[in-house]
Order: sequence, then structure tokens, then C-alpha cells
Amino acid sequence: MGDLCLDPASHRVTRDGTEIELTSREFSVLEFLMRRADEFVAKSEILENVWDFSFEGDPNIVEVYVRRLRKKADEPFGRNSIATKRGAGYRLSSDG
Amino acid sequence: MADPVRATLQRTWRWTASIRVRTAALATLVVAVALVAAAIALVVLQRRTLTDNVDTAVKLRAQDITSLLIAGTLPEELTVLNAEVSLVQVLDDGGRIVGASENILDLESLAADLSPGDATDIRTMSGVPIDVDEDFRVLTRSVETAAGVYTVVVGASLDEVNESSQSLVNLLRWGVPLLVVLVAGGTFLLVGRALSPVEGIRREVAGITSQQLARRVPEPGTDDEIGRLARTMNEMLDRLEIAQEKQERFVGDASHELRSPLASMRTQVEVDLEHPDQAPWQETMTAVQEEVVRMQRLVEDFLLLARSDAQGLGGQHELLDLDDVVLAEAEAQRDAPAITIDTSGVSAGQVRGDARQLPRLVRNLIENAIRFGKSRVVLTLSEARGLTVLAVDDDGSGVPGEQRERVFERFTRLDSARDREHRGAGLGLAIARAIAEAHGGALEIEDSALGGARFVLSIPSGRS
Repeated sequence: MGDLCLDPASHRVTRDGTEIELTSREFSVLEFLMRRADEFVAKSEILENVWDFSFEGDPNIVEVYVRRLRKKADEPFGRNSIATKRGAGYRLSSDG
Repeated sequence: MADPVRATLQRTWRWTASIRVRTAALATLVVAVALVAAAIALVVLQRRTLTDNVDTAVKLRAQDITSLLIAGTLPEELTVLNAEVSLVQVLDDGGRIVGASENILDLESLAADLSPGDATDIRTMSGVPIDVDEDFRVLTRSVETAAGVYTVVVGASLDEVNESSQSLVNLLRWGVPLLVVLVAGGTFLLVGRALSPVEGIRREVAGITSQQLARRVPEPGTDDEIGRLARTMNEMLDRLEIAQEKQERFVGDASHELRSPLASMRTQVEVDLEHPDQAPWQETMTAVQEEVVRMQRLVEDFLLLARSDAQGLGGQHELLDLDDVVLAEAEAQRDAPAITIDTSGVSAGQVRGDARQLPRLVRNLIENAIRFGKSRVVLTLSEARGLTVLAVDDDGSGVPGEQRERVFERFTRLDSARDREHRGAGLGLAIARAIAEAHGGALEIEDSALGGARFVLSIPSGRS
């Protein structure tokens, strides 16, 4: 997807050939956003899919994970691929 | 080599090997060299100064006589200050004596073997008639006057110079060796006194074995290097003693913990063996298995603690989501009866840590809270200012302030009556703290808003 590359088999993510170190949960969030690329995905939807239906933590946890993904996969490369829309959720643009 | 000879050699070697002897010898050598050099310089300088004085007197006298000659008023008998040490002679160009000091009036020309030099040409001459044994400083100068060319010879004995020089040399010949001996003796005594506590310390340390770690080396009570050495050594012995006590206590407590499951298994098996036909084998096996599992857990805990004492826990440190760990461990404990675990305060927190040790830490904290809570355990996780902080609250009876550090010690069980039913070995919190510290973090205990205890774990957040 653009120059952002995710390999579910080896659990590795690279952008522009540079490897990005992600925890398994960060990986899952990014994977989910990629699967639903170019559409806004609600926080609750992410929680249900990446965590599970019985998630009992603080729902704001999603914000923290998205912030971390931006910090790791966007900022160092001067990108802005994850958009936020109040009330609608997050969108990963497919051009990376 | 004969034994007595070898013994003597060894003694000599030990003698020269002692700091005391080496220091005294070195100090003596340095002082002796310096003193001898200074003495030689002193004698040379003194001699030169005194000789210069004599030369000055000789030159002045020559000046006087020259003036008299030029004025043409030279008396036949010339006066000298001291007839024993000075002489004056004036010759005309034919070598005839025209004037002399009274002590050499009846003598031949002194200048026979002297050629006139310039005004500063003073030579040392021996065999001068008034005192053949003494060296003289002699000035020979030619003077042109209206009446012709004269040769002026003025001399002065070096007798006084030699005498002063000799007495100085005599003084130094005895003084320098005496000083050297004093320095040698003084250094030997002082160094010996300074080092005597070291020998005391050495003897005491040599006597301390692992059975007598309570012994201490004598402290000289001074704040010098040796006093500090003794103090440092005693501090080290303190630490050794404490470490040894800790280790002995650990071994004792560990054995005690293992003894009760062993005893219980033995009893059950023995009872069954006495009455094999009516023995509830199935039941016994289940009970024995439970005890074995318990023992296995204990031994694993012992090993972990022993490893953390020996070299730290180490482990593979990778980037981990502590929130995942906390939620998973909480989920695993949810089947605990009568206790609700509230994880709604668990937000994200990332740390670098060991993927096996951190879950264990969290599990130990949750188990502890469940054990002592009445109905609720609340977990909160957040990340702020570079720290990931996990708080575990329970609504039990809490831990009074003075016992807070004790709960992290090994085999500690507060409120022993309750604990027997809880069946903990008192290692969970000790292990939790050891893991926290191995991750550069801290584990503390506070008052919970729920009324019970609040365990606060803080670990530096992981940076990717």
C-alpha cells in the first residue's frame, strides 16, 4: 500500500524499505486499518476487531495506539497517512 | 643449599621486602645524595668567596704600589698588613730589587720565574719563601714610569682560606653522616608506627572465616589512609555478614516451605501403603499431584530469586504493550469467585521488558490483590512523563505503614492466621519487586481509595 508494506506472515512492517518496530497489538491495529483502507473506521469497531468483544479496558486506548502508529510509521518519513475525523474514526489512505 | 642458609636468605628477603625498610632506605638514599651534593657545593663556594677576598686585597695593594712608583716615592721597605701572610716586591727592568716588604728583604727576586701579566692576572704559587708549605696568590704587573719599567709582585697566602675550608670540611664530615643516620632512623620509626595497624588488620582478616563473620578489624581511630582502610574493610565485613545471614535465612525458609508438602505426601502415601486394599489410590494420587505442582512452583520461585541475587534477572528485553499483558492476566483471573476485577482504567502503556517476566509480575500483583481483597480489585494503567504506571487496588484491610517494606521481603506473611488458608509462600511480592527492579522500575505500596492496599508499579516507558 503505497510504500507502506505489511507482511502478516512474518509480522514485519516496512516503509520505503525501512523496517518499523511494532508491538503485536500495534501491528494488529495497522493491519485492521489497512484492510479497511480509505474508509473511516470507528473506534468501537477497532476495539471489537483488534481486541475483542469483551474488551474491558479504557476505550481511549485506541487513540494511544493510533498516536503511536503515526509516530512510528508517519512522522519519521514526513507522511500523514492516518486521518482523524471526529465522530467518524480513523482512515488510512491507500496511497500511504 | 643448607637449610639455615636458606632460612637466613628468606629472612633477609622478607626484611627487604617490607615497606618499612624500603621506605627508610629510599628516604636515606635521597637525603644522603642531597646532603653530599649540598656539602660539596658549600665547600666550593666558600673557598671561591674567600679566595676572591684575598685576590681583592692583593689587587688593592698592587694599585697602591703602582701609585707610589709612578709618583716616585717608593720607600725601600714596603709595609704589609700581616708579615706572615703577605709580601710585596718591586724590581727594576734589570731585575734588581728596588723595594720589598720586610719579610723578604733579604731574598732573591721572586719574579725570576714569573712573567709580568696584565692587571687581573693572579696565579696560585707554592714554595714562596716566607711559608714554603702554603699556597700563595701572586700578582705580577709591569709598571711604566718616567724612571723606567718596574715589575711589581704582590702576594698573599691562602692559609686562612685553607684553614676555614678545612674546618668547614671537618664539620661536614661528621655532620652529614649524622644527619643521614638520623633520617634513616627517624623514617624507619615513623613508617613502622604508621604501618603497625596494617599488620593488626592483616592478622585479624587472616583469622576471619565464614563461620566468624561477626569479627571486625581494629580501627586505629584516625582519618588517614589506614583508618579509612580499616573502616572500609569493616563495612565490607558488614555487608558480607548481612549477605550471609540473608542467604542462610533463605535456605532455611526454602527448606521449611518444601518440608510441609513433602511431609503431607509422605503421610498420605504411607497410610495407603499400610492398608493397600482399602486405600483411595485415586484420591491420593490427585493430592500428591497437587502437592508436586505446588512444590514445582516453589522451586521455580526459589530459582528466580536466587538468579536475581546472583546476576540480576537479565532476560530478553523487547518492546511490549503492558496493557495487553494486564488485560490478559486479568482475564485469566476472572474466574476467581466473589471478586470482580475492574480493568476500565487500563489504557495503553509500552515498556521494554521480558515477555515472560512481566506477565509474572502482573500476575503476582493481581493474585495478591485477589487474595486480600474483599470484593473488588481495580487495575489502572497509564503512561506519563516517560513512565508507565500500573496501579493495583484492592478493598481489603490494607497494609499498615510500618509493615510496607516487609511485605516485599521473602517468606513474609502478615496476619499469619489468615495466610494459612491462603497458602502463599510469601514470595510473590518479593519476586514482583525483583522483576520490577530488573526492568529499571520500582514497586511501592500505598493506601488505596478503596480502603485496602494499592500497589504501584512504575517502569520507564519503552522507546522504539
